[in-house]
Amino acid sequence: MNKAISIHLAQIKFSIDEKGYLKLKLYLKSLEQLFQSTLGKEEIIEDIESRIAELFSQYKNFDNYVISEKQVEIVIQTLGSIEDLAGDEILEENTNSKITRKFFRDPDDYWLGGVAGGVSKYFALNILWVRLVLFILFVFGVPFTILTYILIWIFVPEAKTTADKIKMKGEPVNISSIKNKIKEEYEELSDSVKKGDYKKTMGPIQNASKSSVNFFLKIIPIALRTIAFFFGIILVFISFLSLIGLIIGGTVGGLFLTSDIPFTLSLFGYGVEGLLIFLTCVFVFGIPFVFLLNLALILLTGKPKIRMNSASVFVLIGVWISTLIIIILIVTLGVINLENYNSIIEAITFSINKIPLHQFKITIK
Amino acid sequence: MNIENTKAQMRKGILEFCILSILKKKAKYSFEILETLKVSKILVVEGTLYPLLTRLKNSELLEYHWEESKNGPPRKYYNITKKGKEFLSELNVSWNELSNTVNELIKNIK
Repeated sequence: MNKAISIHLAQIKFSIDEKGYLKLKLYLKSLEQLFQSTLGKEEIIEDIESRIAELFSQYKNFDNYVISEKQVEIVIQTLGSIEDLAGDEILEENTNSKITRKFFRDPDDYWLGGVAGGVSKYFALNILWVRLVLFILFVFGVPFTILTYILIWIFVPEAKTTADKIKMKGEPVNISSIKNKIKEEYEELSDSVKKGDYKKTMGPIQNASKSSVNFFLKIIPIALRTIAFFFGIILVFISFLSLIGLIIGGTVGGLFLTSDIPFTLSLFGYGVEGLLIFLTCVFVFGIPFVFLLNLALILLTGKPKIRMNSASVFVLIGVWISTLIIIILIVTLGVINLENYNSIIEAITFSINKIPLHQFKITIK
Repeated sequence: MNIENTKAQMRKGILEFCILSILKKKAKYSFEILETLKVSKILVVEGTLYPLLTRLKNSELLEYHWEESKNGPPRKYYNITKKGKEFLSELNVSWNELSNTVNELIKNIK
Protein backbone atom coordinates (compact mmCIF):
# COMPACT_ATOMS: atom_id res chain seq x y z
CA MET A 1 0.00 0.00 0.00
CA ASN A 2 1.28 3.40 -0.89
CA LYS A 3 0.51 6.63 0.85
CA ALA A 4 -0.60 9.62 -1.18
CA ILE A 5 0.93 12.95 -0.31
CA SER A 6 -0.70 16.30 -1.02
CA ILE A 7 1.44 19.09 -2.36
CA HIS A 8 0.94 22.52 -3.83
CA LEU A 9 2.69 23.36 -7.04
CA ALA A 10 2.15 26.80 -8.51
CA GLN A 11 -0.81 27.17 -6.14
CA ILE A 12 -2.53 24.06 -7.44
CA LYS A 13 -3.13 21.13 -5.17
CA PHE A 14 -2.01 17.68 -6.29
CA SER A 15 -1.98 14.28 -4.64
CA ILE A 16 1.07 12.24 -5.44
CA ASP A 17 2.00 8.71 -4.66
CA GLU A 18 4.67 8.59 -1.96
CA LYS A 19 7.48 7.25 -4.10
CA GLY A 20 6.66 9.72 -6.83
CA TYR A 21 6.69 12.48 -4.25
CA LEU A 22 10.17 11.51 -3.13
CA LYS A 23 11.42 11.56 -6.70
CA LEU A 24 9.87 14.92 -7.37
CA LYS A 25 11.27 16.36 -4.18
CA LEU A 26 14.72 15.08 -4.98
CA TYR A 27 14.46 16.51 -8.46
CA LEU A 28 13.46 19.97 -7.25
CA LYS A 29 16.16 19.91 -4.62
CA SER A 30 18.78 19.04 -7.17
CA LEU A 31 17.53 21.78 -9.46
CA GLU A 32 17.95 24.25 -6.68
CA GLN A 33 21.53 23.10 -6.27
CA LEU A 34 22.13 23.27 -9.98
CA PHE A 35 20.91 26.82 -10.35
CA GLN A 36 22.21 28.02 -7.06
CA SER A 37 24.71 30.45 -8.45
CA THR A 38 22.63 31.39 -11.47
CA LEU A 39 21.07 34.80 -11.56
CA GLY A 40 17.29 34.61 -11.12
CA LYS A 41 17.37 31.18 -9.52
CA GLU A 42 14.01 31.56 -7.76
CA GLU A 43 12.30 32.55 -10.95
CA ILE A 44 13.74 29.63 -12.90
CA ILE A 45 12.62 27.18 -10.24
CA GLU A 46 9.18 28.79 -10.14
CA ASP A 47 8.87 28.50 -13.90
CA ILE A 48 9.84 24.87 -13.80
CA GLU A 49 7.44 24.15 -10.94
CA SER A 50 4.70 25.86 -12.85
CA ARG A 51 5.48 23.75 -15.90
CA ILE A 52 5.40 20.61 -13.76
CA ALA A 53 2.01 21.73 -12.43
CA GLU A 54 0.82 22.19 -15.97
CA LEU A 55 1.94 18.71 -16.95
CA PHE A 56 0.38 17.24 -13.82
CA SER A 57 -2.89 19.01 -14.61
CA GLN A 58 -3.08 17.06 -17.83
CA TYR A 59 -3.06 13.82 -15.87
CA LYS A 60 -5.48 15.01 -13.27
CA ASN A 61 -8.85 13.88 -14.57
CA PHE A 62 -10.78 14.22 -11.33
CA ASP A 63 -10.30 16.03 -8.07
CA ASN A 64 -8.69 13.35 -5.97
CA TYR A 65 -6.59 11.85 -8.72
CA VAL A 66 -3.31 10.51 -7.36
CA ILE A 67 -0.37 11.11 -9.66
CA SER A 68 1.67 7.95 -9.95
CA GLU A 69 5.39 7.45 -9.66
CA LYS A 70 5.51 6.62 -13.35
CA GLN A 71 3.88 9.91 -14.26
CA VAL A 72 6.33 11.82 -12.12
CA GLU A 73 9.12 10.06 -13.96
CA ILE A 74 7.67 11.01 -17.33
CA VAL A 75 7.38 14.64 -16.28
CA ILE A 76 10.97 14.68 -15.08
CA GLN A 77 12.06 13.15 -18.35
CA THR A 78 10.20 15.80 -20.31
CA LEU A 79 11.84 18.58 -18.37
CA GLY A 80 15.21 16.89 -18.50
CA SER A 81 17.10 14.88 -15.95
CA ILE A 82 19.61 16.63 -13.74
CA GLU A 83 22.40 15.18 -15.85
CA ASP A 84 20.91 16.63 -19.02
CA LEU A 85 20.37 20.01 -17.48
CA ALA A 86 23.79 20.06 -15.85
CA GLY A 87 25.23 19.38 -19.29
CA ASP A 88 23.41 22.34 -20.74
CA GLU A 89 23.60 24.67 -17.86
CA ILE A 90 26.33 27.22 -18.04
CA LEU A 91 26.43 28.96 -14.74
CA GLU A 92 27.26 32.60 -14.51
CA GLU A 93 31.00 32.45 -14.96
CA ASN A 94 32.50 32.07 -11.55
CA THR A 95 36.13 32.32 -12.48
CA ASN A 96 37.26 32.35 -8.93
CA SER A 97 39.86 29.77 -9.74
CA LYS A 98 42.13 30.47 -6.80
CA ILE A 99 42.16 27.36 -4.73
CA THR A 100 41.47 28.09 -1.11
CA ARG A 101 40.08 25.62 1.29
CA LYS A 102 37.45 26.59 3.77
CA PHE A 103 36.82 24.75 6.96
CA PHE A 104 33.34 23.25 7.02
CA ARG A 105 31.79 20.32 8.77
CA ASP A 106 31.20 17.58 6.26
CA PRO A 107 27.54 16.52 6.17
CA ASP A 108 28.27 13.60 3.84
CA ASP A 109 30.87 11.88 5.94
CA TYR A 110 29.99 11.93 9.58
CA TRP A 111 29.68 9.82 12.69
CA LEU A 112 28.63 12.65 14.95
CA GLY A 113 28.92 16.17 13.70
CA GLY A 114 31.12 15.77 10.66
CA VAL A 115 34.06 17.44 12.40
CA ALA A 116 36.56 14.73 11.51
CA GLY A 117 35.26 14.77 7.94
CA GLY A 118 35.73 18.51 7.76
CA VAL A 119 39.22 18.35 9.21
CA SER A 120 40.20 15.62 6.78
CA LYS A 121 38.92 17.62 3.80
CA TYR A 122 40.58 20.77 5.04
CA PHE A 123 43.99 19.20 5.42
CA ALA A 124 43.45 16.75 2.54
CA LEU A 125 44.05 13.84 4.88
CA ASN A 126 42.47 10.45 4.91
CA ILE A 127 39.56 10.56 7.33
CA LEU A 128 40.79 7.39 9.03
CA TRP A 129 43.93 9.16 10.22
CA VAL A 130 41.92 12.06 11.54
CA ARG A 131 39.62 9.72 13.44
CA LEU A 132 42.61 7.82 14.79
CA VAL A 133 44.23 11.01 16.07
CA LEU A 134 40.89 12.08 17.49
CA PHE A 135 40.60 8.75 19.24
CA ILE A 136 44.10 9.04 20.70
CA LEU A 137 43.32 12.55 21.89
CA PHE A 138 40.12 11.25 23.36
CA VAL A 139 41.96 8.56 25.28
CA PHE A 140 44.47 11.04 26.70
CA GLY A 141 42.16 13.89 27.54
CA VAL A 142 38.52 12.95 27.68
CA PRO A 143 36.86 16.19 28.86
CA PHE A 144 39.06 18.43 26.80
CA THR A 145 38.56 16.51 23.56
CA ILE A 146 34.81 16.26 24.01
CA LEU A 147 34.51 19.95 24.77
CA THR A 148 36.63 20.90 21.79
CA TYR A 149 34.66 18.63 19.52
CA ILE A 150 31.37 20.09 20.65
CA LEU A 151 32.64 23.63 20.24
CA ILE A 152 33.78 22.96 16.69
CA TRP A 153 30.46 21.30 16.04
CA ILE A 154 28.66 24.43 17.14
CA PHE A 155 30.80 27.07 15.55
CA VAL A 156 31.98 25.62 12.30
CA PRO A 157 29.20 25.75 9.75
CA GLU A 158 28.14 22.68 7.86
CA ALA A 159 28.89 22.60 4.16
CA LYS A 160 25.31 22.96 2.98
CA THR A 161 25.51 24.01 -0.62
CA THR A 162 27.36 22.38 -3.44
CA ALA A 163 29.67 25.37 -3.66
CA ASP A 164 30.50 24.95 0.04
CA LYS A 165 31.35 21.32 -0.50
CA ILE A 166 33.64 22.18 -3.35
CA LYS A 167 35.32 24.93 -1.34
CA MET A 168 35.73 22.46 1.51
CA LYS A 169 37.83 20.27 -0.73
CA GLY A 170 39.68 23.25 -2.11
CA GLU A 171 38.67 22.60 -5.69
CA PRO A 172 37.98 25.64 -7.82
CA VAL A 173 34.31 26.53 -7.91
CA ASN A 174 33.43 26.44 -11.57
CA ILE A 175 30.94 24.88 -13.91
CA SER A 176 32.49 21.49 -14.24
CA SER A 177 33.28 20.97 -10.57
CA ILE A 178 29.74 21.97 -9.58
CA LYS A 179 28.35 19.77 -12.31
CA ASN A 180 30.35 16.78 -11.18
CA LYS A 181 29.44 17.28 -7.57
CA ILE A 182 25.74 17.56 -8.37
CA LYS A 183 25.88 14.43 -10.48
CA GLU A 184 27.58 12.57 -7.66
CA GLU A 185 25.00 13.64 -5.12
CA TYR A 186 22.14 12.99 -7.44
CA GLU A 187 23.32 9.49 -8.18
CA GLU A 188 23.78 8.80 -4.49
CA LEU A 189 20.30 10.03 -3.69
CA SER A 190 18.62 8.28 -6.55
CA ASP A 191 20.28 5.05 -5.44
CA SER A 192 18.75 5.46 -2.03
CA VAL A 193 15.36 6.17 -3.61
CA LYS A 194 15.65 3.00 -5.66
CA LYS A 195 16.49 1.00 -2.60
CA GLY A 196 13.51 2.51 -0.83
CA ASP A 197 15.75 4.13 1.73
CA TYR A 198 13.41 6.97 2.53
CA LYS A 199 15.28 8.12 5.55
CA LYS A 200 18.07 9.42 3.38
CA THR A 201 15.83 11.27 0.98
CA MET A 202 13.29 12.66 3.39
CA GLY A 203 14.92 15.79 4.72
CA PRO A 204 12.90 16.37 7.89
CA ILE A 205 12.87 12.77 9.06
CA GLN A 206 16.56 12.46 8.45
CA ASN A 207 18.34 11.25 11.52
CA ALA A 208 16.20 12.06 14.48
CA SER A 209 19.29 12.31 16.64
CA LYS A 210 20.88 14.85 14.36
CA SER A 211 17.83 17.07 14.30
CA SER A 212 17.33 16.86 18.04
CA VAL A 213 20.90 18.01 18.43
CA ASN A 214 20.16 20.83 16.03
CA PHE A 215 17.15 21.74 18.08
CA PHE A 216 19.26 21.71 21.20
CA LEU A 217 21.78 23.92 19.45
CA LYS A 218 19.10 26.38 18.49
CA ILE A 219 17.85 26.95 22.03
CA ILE A 220 21.07 27.97 23.70
CA PRO A 221 23.39 29.18 21.00
CA ILE A 222 23.90 32.61 22.48
CA ALA A 223 24.93 31.34 25.89
CA LEU A 224 27.22 28.78 24.32
CA ARG A 225 28.69 31.34 22.01
CA THR A 226 29.55 33.55 24.94
CA ILE A 227 31.05 30.66 26.83
CA ALA A 228 33.05 29.62 23.81
CA PHE A 229 34.27 33.13 23.31
CA PHE A 230 35.65 33.28 26.85
CA PHE A 231 36.91 29.77 26.51
CA GLY A 232 38.65 30.83 23.33
CA ILE A 233 40.26 33.83 25.02
CA ILE A 234 41.42 31.70 27.91
CA LEU A 235 42.76 29.10 25.50
CA VAL A 236 44.67 31.74 23.58
CA PHE A 237 46.23 32.95 26.81
CA ILE A 238 47.01 29.48 28.07
CA SER A 239 48.50 28.23 24.85
CA PHE A 240 50.36 31.43 24.07
CA LEU A 241 51.86 31.76 27.53
CA SER A 242 52.65 28.07 27.66
CA LEU A 243 54.47 28.27 24.37
CA ILE A 244 56.53 31.24 25.52
CA GLY A 245 57.13 29.60 28.87
CA LEU A 246 58.20 26.38 27.24
CA ILE A 247 60.60 28.10 24.89
CA ILE A 248 62.21 30.22 27.62
CA GLY A 249 62.07 27.46 30.19
CA GLY A 250 63.40 24.93 27.76
CA THR A 251 66.33 27.07 26.77
CA VAL A 252 67.22 28.17 30.27
CA GLY A 253 66.59 24.73 31.73
CA GLY A 254 68.48 22.98 29.00
CA LEU A 255 71.48 25.24 29.46
CA PHE A 256 71.71 25.79 33.17
CA LEU A 257 69.57 23.46 35.20
CA THR A 258 70.70 20.13 33.88
CA SER A 259 72.29 19.06 37.14
CA ASP A 260 68.84 18.76 38.72
CA ILE A 261 68.09 15.62 36.78
CA PRO A 262 68.31 12.79 39.28
CA PHE A 263 69.73 10.19 36.94
CA THR A 264 72.07 9.77 34.07
CA LEU A 265 72.08 7.40 31.16
CA SER A 266 75.83 7.55 30.85
CA LEU A 267 75.29 7.98 27.14
CA PHE A 268 76.25 11.50 26.25
CA GLY A 269 77.27 12.94 29.54
CA TYR A 270 75.27 15.04 31.92
CA GLY A 271 74.86 18.30 30.01
CA VAL A 272 73.85 16.81 26.67
CA GLU A 273 71.28 14.53 28.25
CA GLY A 274 69.71 17.37 30.15
CA LEU A 275 69.49 19.45 27.02
CA LEU A 276 67.91 16.54 25.16
CA ILE A 277 65.35 16.00 27.87
CA PHE A 278 64.38 19.65 28.00
CA LEU A 279 64.17 19.95 24.24
CA THR A 280 61.96 16.90 23.90
CA CYS A 281 59.80 18.30 26.68
CA VAL A 282 59.45 21.51 24.73
CA PHE A 283 58.26 19.60 21.68
CA VAL A 284 56.05 17.16 23.51
CA PHE A 285 54.19 19.90 25.31
CA GLY A 286 54.66 22.63 22.76
CA ILE A 287 53.18 21.03 19.66
CA PRO A 288 49.77 20.36 21.20
CA PHE A 289 49.76 23.97 22.33
CA VAL A 290 50.35 25.14 18.75
CA PHE A 291 47.26 23.22 17.70
CA LEU A 292 45.44 24.49 20.75
CA LEU A 293 46.34 28.07 19.91
CA ASN A 294 45.08 27.61 16.39
CA LEU A 295 41.89 26.06 17.68
CA ALA A 296 41.39 28.92 20.09
CA LEU A 297 41.77 31.37 17.22
CA ILE A 298 39.26 29.38 15.19
CA LEU A 299 36.88 29.61 18.12
CA LEU A 300 37.33 33.35 18.35
CA THR A 301 37.36 34.33 14.71
CA GLY A 302 35.85 31.38 12.89
CA LYS A 303 38.94 31.08 10.72
CA PRO A 304 42.20 29.29 11.34
CA LYS A 305 44.92 31.90 11.77
CA ILE A 306 47.86 29.57 11.60
CA ARG A 307 47.59 28.15 8.12
CA MET A 308 48.81 24.62 8.03
CA ASN A 309 48.90 22.35 5.05
CA SER A 310 48.83 18.60 5.36
CA ALA A 311 52.61 18.30 5.12
CA SER A 312 53.28 20.58 8.06
CA VAL A 313 50.59 18.87 10.10
CA PHE A 314 52.18 15.53 9.38
CA VAL A 315 55.62 16.83 10.28
CA LEU A 316 54.35 18.32 13.52
CA ILE A 317 52.52 15.16 14.49
CA GLY A 318 55.55 13.10 13.49
CA VAL A 319 57.89 15.23 15.59
CA TRP A 320 55.46 15.08 18.47
CA ILE A 321 55.18 11.30 18.40
CA SER A 322 58.93 10.79 18.05
CA THR A 323 59.75 13.19 20.86
CA LEU A 324 57.13 11.47 22.97
CA ILE A 325 58.81 8.15 22.28
CA ILE A 326 62.23 9.64 23.07
CA ILE A 327 61.08 11.04 26.36
CA ILE A 328 59.42 7.77 27.34
CA LEU A 329 62.64 5.93 26.47
CA ILE A 330 64.77 8.35 28.44
CA VAL A 331 62.55 8.15 31.47
CA THR A 332 62.33 4.35 31.42
CA LEU A 333 66.07 4.02 30.94
CA GLY A 334 66.58 6.56 33.69
CA VAL A 335 64.29 4.67 36.04
CA ILE A 336 66.08 1.42 35.30
CA ASN A 337 69.39 3.10 36.00
CA LEU A 338 67.98 4.53 39.18
CA GLU A 339 66.84 1.08 40.27
CA ASN A 340 70.27 -0.38 39.59
CA TYR A 341 71.76 2.46 41.54
CA ASN A 342 69.40 1.80 44.44
CA SER A 343 70.16 -1.89 44.44
CA ILE A 344 73.87 -1.21 44.54
CA ILE A 345 73.38 1.07 47.51
CA GLU A 346 71.21 -1.56 49.17
CA ALA A 347 73.86 -4.19 48.59
CA ILE A 348 76.49 -1.97 50.08
CA THR A 349 74.33 -1.16 53.09
CA PHE A 350 73.54 -4.81 53.51
CA SER A 351 77.18 -5.84 53.48
CA ILE A 352 78.07 -2.98 55.78
CA ASN A 353 75.48 -4.20 58.30
CA LYS A 354 76.92 -7.69 58.25
CA ILE A 355 80.37 -6.62 59.26
CA PRO A 356 80.76 -6.69 63.05
CA LEU A 357 80.99 -3.22 64.39
CA HIS A 358 84.38 -3.62 66.00
CA GLN A 359 85.96 -4.56 62.72
CA PHE A 360 84.42 -1.58 60.97
CA LYS A 361 86.83 1.26 60.75
CA ILE A 362 86.22 4.54 59.24
CA THR A 363 89.19 6.51 58.30
CA ILE A 364 88.67 10.15 58.11
CA LYS A 365 91.30 12.06 56.39
CA MET B 1 37.86 18.94 -24.28
CA ASN B 2 34.48 17.34 -23.94
CA ILE B 3 32.36 17.04 -27.07
CA GLU B 4 29.10 17.23 -25.12
CA ASN B 5 30.29 20.40 -23.51
CA THR B 6 31.17 22.00 -26.81
CA LYS B 7 27.85 20.97 -28.31
CA ALA B 8 26.00 22.35 -25.31
CA GLN B 9 27.83 25.66 -25.56
CA MET B 10 27.12 25.91 -29.26
CA ARG B 11 23.47 25.07 -28.80
CA LYS B 12 23.11 27.49 -25.98
CA GLY B 13 24.41 30.46 -27.90
CA ILE B 14 22.21 29.61 -30.84
CA LEU B 15 19.21 28.92 -28.61
CA GLU B 16 19.04 32.50 -27.41
CA PHE B 17 19.05 33.64 -30.98
CA CYS B 18 16.26 31.16 -31.83
CA ILE B 19 14.11 32.20 -28.89
CA LEU B 20 14.32 35.84 -29.88
CA SER B 21 13.47 34.90 -33.47
CA ILE B 22 10.45 32.85 -32.40
CA LEU B 23 9.13 35.76 -30.37
CA LYS B 24 9.80 38.32 -33.08
CA LYS B 25 6.25 38.52 -34.36
CA LYS B 26 4.03 37.39 -31.54
CA ALA B 27 4.04 36.88 -27.77
CA LYS B 28 4.14 33.24 -26.83
CA TYR B 29 4.14 31.29 -23.63
CA SER B 30 6.91 28.92 -22.73
CA PHE B 31 5.24 25.78 -24.03
CA GLU B 32 4.65 27.27 -27.48
CA ILE B 33 8.29 28.29 -27.64
CA LEU B 34 9.19 24.80 -26.57
CA GLU B 35 7.13 23.16 -29.29
CA THR B 36 8.77 25.17 -32.03
CA LEU B 37 12.21 24.39 -30.68
CA LYS B 38 11.41 20.71 -30.26
CA VAL B 39 10.26 20.38 -33.82
CA SER B 40 13.57 21.76 -35.00
CA LYS B 41 15.39 19.39 -32.59
CA ILE B 42 17.49 22.20 -31.24
CA LEU B 43 16.17 21.75 -27.74
CA VAL B 44 16.65 18.37 -26.15
CA VAL B 45 14.92 18.84 -22.83
CA GLU B 46 12.43 21.44 -21.66
CA GLY B 47 14.29 22.38 -18.53
CA THR B 48 16.98 24.15 -20.53
CA LEU B 49 14.54 26.78 -21.70
CA TYR B 50 13.63 28.32 -18.35
CA PRO B 51 17.06 29.57 -17.33
CA LEU B 52 17.44 31.05 -20.81
CA LEU B 53 14.12 32.87 -20.69
CA THR B 54 14.93 34.24 -17.27
CA ARG B 55 18.29 35.42 -18.46
CA LEU B 56 16.91 37.09 -21.54
CA LYS B 57 14.27 38.74 -19.41
CA ASN B 58 16.87 39.94 -16.91
CA SER B 59 18.88 41.40 -19.77
CA GLU B 60 15.71 43.27 -20.80
CA LEU B 61 15.56 41.59 -24.17
CA LEU B 62 12.26 39.96 -23.25
CA GLU B 63 9.34 40.87 -21.04
CA TYR B 64 6.33 38.89 -19.98
CA HIS B 65 2.76 39.19 -18.81
CA TRP B 66 0.54 36.67 -17.09
CA GLU B 67 -2.49 35.08 -18.72
CA GLU B 68 -5.01 32.79 -17.08
CA SER B 69 -5.26 29.27 -18.36
CA LYS B 70 -8.33 27.01 -18.29
CA ASN B 71 -6.40 23.91 -17.38
CA GLY B 72 -3.45 24.50 -15.15
CA PRO B 73 -1.62 27.42 -13.62
CA PRO B 74 -1.50 30.89 -15.20
CA ARG B 75 0.98 31.21 -18.03
CA LYS B 76 3.80 33.62 -18.64
CA TYR B 77 3.56 35.11 -22.11
CA TYR B 78 6.87 36.41 -23.33
CA ASN B 79 7.33 39.07 -25.92
CA ILE B 80 10.36 40.77 -27.30
CA THR B 81 11.32 44.27 -26.19
CA LYS B 82 12.66 47.08 -28.32
CA LYS B 83 16.11 46.34 -27.03
CA GLY B 84 15.52 42.70 -27.87
CA LYS B 85 14.63 43.53 -31.44
CA GLU B 86 17.80 45.55 -31.90
CA PHE B 87 19.75 42.72 -30.36
CA LEU B 88 18.06 40.23 -32.67
CA SER B 89 18.81 42.15 -35.84
CA GLU B 90 22.45 42.35 -34.83
CA LEU B 91 22.46 38.65 -34.13
CA ASN B 92 20.88 38.05 -37.53
CA VAL B 93 23.70 39.86 -39.27
CA SER B 94 26.41 38.06 -37.39
CA TRP B 95 24.63 34.73 -37.79
CA ASN B 96 24.60 35.12 -41.56
CA GLU B 97 28.22 36.12 -41.60
CA LEU B 98 29.20 33.34 -39.29
CA SER B 99 27.29 30.57 -41.03
CA ASN B 100 28.67 31.68 -44.39
CA THR B 101 32.21 31.81 -43.13
CA VAL B 102 32.01 28.52 -41.31
CA ASN B 103 30.41 26.74 -44.26
CA GLU B 104 32.99 28.18 -46.61
CA LEU B 105 35.74 27.13 -44.29
CA ILE B 106 34.48 23.57 -43.98
CA LYS B 107 33.96 23.30 -47.73
CA ASN B 108 37.45 24.58 -48.54
CA ILE B 109 39.17 22.24 -46.14
CA LYS B 110 37.38 19.26 -47.66
